[in-house]
Amino acid sequence: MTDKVNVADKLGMNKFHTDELNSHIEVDKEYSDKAEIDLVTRVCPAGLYSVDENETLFFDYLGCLECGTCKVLSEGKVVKNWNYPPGTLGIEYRMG
Amino acid sequence: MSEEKFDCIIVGGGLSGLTAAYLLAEKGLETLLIEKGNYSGAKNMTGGRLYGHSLEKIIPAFAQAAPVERRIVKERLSYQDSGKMTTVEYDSRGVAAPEGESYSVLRGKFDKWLADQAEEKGAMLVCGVRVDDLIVRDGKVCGVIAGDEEMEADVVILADGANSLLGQKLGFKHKISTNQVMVGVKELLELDKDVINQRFGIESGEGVAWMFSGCSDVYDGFLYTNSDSVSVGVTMMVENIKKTDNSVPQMLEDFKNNTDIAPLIEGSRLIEYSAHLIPEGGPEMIPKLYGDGVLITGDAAALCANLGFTIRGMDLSIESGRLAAEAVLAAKEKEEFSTNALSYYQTSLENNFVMSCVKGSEVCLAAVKSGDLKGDPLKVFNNLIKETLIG
Amino acid sequence: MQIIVCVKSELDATGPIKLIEPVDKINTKDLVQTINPADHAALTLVRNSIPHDMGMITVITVSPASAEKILRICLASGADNAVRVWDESLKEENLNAKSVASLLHKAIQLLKADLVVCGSEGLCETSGYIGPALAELLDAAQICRVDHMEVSDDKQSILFHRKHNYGNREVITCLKPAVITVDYDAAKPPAVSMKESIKASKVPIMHLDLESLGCKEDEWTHNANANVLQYMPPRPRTKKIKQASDKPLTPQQKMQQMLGGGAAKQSSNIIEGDSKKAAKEFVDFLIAERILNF
Repeated sequence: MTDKVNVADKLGMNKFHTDELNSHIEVDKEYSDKAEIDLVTRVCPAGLYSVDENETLFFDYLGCLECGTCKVLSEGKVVKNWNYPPGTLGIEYRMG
Repeated sequence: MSEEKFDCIIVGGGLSGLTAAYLLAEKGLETLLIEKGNYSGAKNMTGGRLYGHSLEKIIPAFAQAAPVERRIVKERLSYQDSGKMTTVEYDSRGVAAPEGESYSVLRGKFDKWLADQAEEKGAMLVCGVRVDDLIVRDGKVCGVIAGDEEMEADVVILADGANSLLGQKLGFKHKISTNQVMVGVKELLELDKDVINQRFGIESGEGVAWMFSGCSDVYDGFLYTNSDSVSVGVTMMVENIKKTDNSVPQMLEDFKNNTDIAPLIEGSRLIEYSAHLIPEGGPEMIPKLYGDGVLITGDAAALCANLGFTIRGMDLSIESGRLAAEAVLAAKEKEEFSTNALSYYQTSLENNFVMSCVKGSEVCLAAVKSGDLKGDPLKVFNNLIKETLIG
Repeated sequence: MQIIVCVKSELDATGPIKLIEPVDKINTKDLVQTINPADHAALTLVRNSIPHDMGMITVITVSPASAEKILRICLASGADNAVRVWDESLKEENLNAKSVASLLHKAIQLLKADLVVCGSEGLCETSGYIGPALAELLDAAQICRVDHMEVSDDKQSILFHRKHNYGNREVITCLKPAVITVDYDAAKPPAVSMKESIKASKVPIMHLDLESLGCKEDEWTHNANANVLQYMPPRPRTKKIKQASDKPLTPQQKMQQMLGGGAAKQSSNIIEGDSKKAAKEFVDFLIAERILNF
């Protein structure tokens, strides 16, 4: 097993146009199935889902790559609402 | 009725959308393409490799003008197993036929170029607008809604990608299940051109497409050489997250650090980190492809094929865009855009390599599920030799 | 009222361009063209404050044809007309701010304007030269970094606001013609509109070459007086260093790490030694810096 990956550093190389007001993905903070939360936390390629020591679920929309993996896995459960950010906002791939 | 009505509105500025826009505008139709990113390609990524044949039909010798990275001349398939690796290589440098060529591409650049071509033909491209919904009257799709704006058209082509929120809103596309789609995550690593040439045994302009299996039970790896960078990543059936304790970002990190990959990317520098979904559900996943005033193309139509030794998506997208454009042109002649009139689209797809590729992937999926494909690289190699890469 | 907004098409360098060693030139081949955010804000501020029936806005740029996309964005953001100044004899790399200001001046004289608006600085080259230079060439009033505009009740004048210290504001008025500059954050450009974009695509863009401006070909090449020697990466910053378990850092080394680079380092001291010595040195330091008065 290699060193623990630091996704935040990797996301730092990407270009984002931040939506300063809203998150395009709404997470159900009341959702309590730990196993499901664990799956979503691990499946997100950008590592945006996390659980703190009080087991509160956090989702940071700022580094979202808008792939839709969390939507496919857990819409209706951990993910309450999933949409793309409004036009011009979100990830902007220079290379792709 | 609004003051402005288009012959065709295309939602999504990816490969199928742009191809349709190009062809419709070329024939003089008033075509509007709406893309949510700031430019075509801003929201797209690929592993990845484009098989040139379908675009070659539309823009002959496109590779001379388009920003392709390297022409793939070496296909490698590797099977890794506890520190050992068997690699099979198919070297096609002796072959020079544009229809059979494939190229590593970077979508941020490639899609932008294709968008410029479509605009030159007269397509109206609006970037930076997210289409939120469709205008539907009496069961017929009549246009699009973006924010508080509406725009009408005789026909709408949904080219809005693997998630196709609009396809789902329309009821044409079912909720995607976790065993129908893979998540692909990739790092684009900058590496000197000459170092790439040396490490992979190629000349400038030549490239390698390399697939790895066996590196893990839950994911596969890939590596493509670009002009002065290397795309390295992993693909994992979303369902497989339940079979492991690992995380997707960590899987990519593990893959990069594996003893066979690490020396190949030594000294490289991360330029971009990206992820996307790849439809892999085979024919079962294909949604309702057409209706009154609407067609669905590309990834939105799940027209992707994982054939084990290669993944086909971009060329199928382009072809589906072409067939959609043909269907719209035929409908326009009769000034009728009903389900009947547009059924030509499905018929032409079914008689086309697109559908046979998607059906071919069903065989591979079954083989993977049954465990046949893994552990037998020679079988895969044989398939590679037997079937042409065009399919 | 005739209003001219000067806009610039720039390479969008806001994505991370991380240098690891000094280079002579930044690799710009994969950067996209974008409108200078300050110029877009300038257009937005003016359009929000002055309705179409009171003032026609013409956007102008000095740029080859590739910049027409930027003009279309402006037309979709409230501009009424667009003009592009360019000539085949011009070369982008030989046009410095002075040449651009001179060309804009000629075009503005031709088109006539009561109010000229510019972004206060560019995205990449932040000299902020164009606005003041135009005011000088036009012999016009100059108000820089306008934050807010309002039309007076009698519609006969415009009041310009500028930020002053402590949140106070200056309210300024002047005689026509005037040149104002606007910061990038003074106004938020409107969201992209499909309808406006489509309308904008049909507006003819006027093209002015040197002949139409009454200029001679060789007046426009200005050699740079200052040359960029190289681009350097950022100074080293404090990094969180993973500590190997057999090599703990001394407190002094930890302090050194936390101080990192920059001005803070120069004005910091690390006192080493036993606590008595350190305490005396510390008190001496406080007295010397007049923080303690004994």
